[in-house]
Amino acid sequence: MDQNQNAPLFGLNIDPNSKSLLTEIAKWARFLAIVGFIVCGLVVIAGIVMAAAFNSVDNPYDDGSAFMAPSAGIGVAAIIMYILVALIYFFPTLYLYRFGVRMRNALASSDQNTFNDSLSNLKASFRFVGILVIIMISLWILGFVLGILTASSM
Amino acid sequence: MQNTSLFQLNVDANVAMTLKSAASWARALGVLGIIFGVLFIAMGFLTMSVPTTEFGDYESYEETNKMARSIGMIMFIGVGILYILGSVFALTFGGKATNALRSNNSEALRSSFASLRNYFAYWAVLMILGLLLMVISIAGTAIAT
Repeated sequence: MDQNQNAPLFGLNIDPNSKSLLTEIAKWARFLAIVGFIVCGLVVIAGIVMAAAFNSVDNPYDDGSAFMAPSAGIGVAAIIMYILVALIYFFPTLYLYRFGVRMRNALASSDQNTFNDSLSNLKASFRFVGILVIIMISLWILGFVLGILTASSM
Repeated sequence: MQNTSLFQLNVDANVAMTLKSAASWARALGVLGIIFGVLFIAMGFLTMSVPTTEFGDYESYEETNKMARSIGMIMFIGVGILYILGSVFALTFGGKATNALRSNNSEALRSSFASLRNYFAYWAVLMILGLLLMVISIAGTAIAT
């Protein structure tokens, strides 16, 4: 009996229509990821510019003493925050890029492993962003509750 | 060999498991995104409801303050609506993919891929618009200074 080893276990095939859709998805995902990388770079640059702006505060004293403006500390904090934001945004973008590239390769070579790998990266991207949104909503609610408590105690 | 896919890619056990997991996370992201968008909209309305503090008798300052808060409210509500719309695509993809895997329905799977494509296309277009606005504002600031 001729075993069809390529037969899908669950009866779902990637037909030409699905392949066309997946090709489009891969293109959009890659494009979105590249734009995301550009945004990450811009965020880092913005942080550096802001830090430089804060550090360029002139010494108000003319006695030649060493002067560390209070705003210099803010500049350091700003650049750290911006780099952190860029880093947080970088990872889901990387997963998305990997998904797009591997999906394109999988469709081109009809490679089942690469296809599965691309979907793993899609899952990782959704998971990362999902957890991030949960954290942001939690912080938001916490801030709101603290705000109400502070306002009511005044 | 009549069940072989023409393109030799199919949804085997590993792919089904991964796709199911991706669909679950997409649904969660969709729901969370809608909640996030609603919070943004609520924040927009809160912006207008915060009482202003009067600074003397300068009516023009009061007007500027009101205008600034109106613009802030519109922006918050706009961002909230945009985020909700994007999240609906993720939720749709997650729901359709889960149903397709459960019922072995190729048509439903195709439909889920269409939703996923719409999700990425939507965010890509928004990102481009956002970047354009950023470039325009930087150029405008540079020209003004």
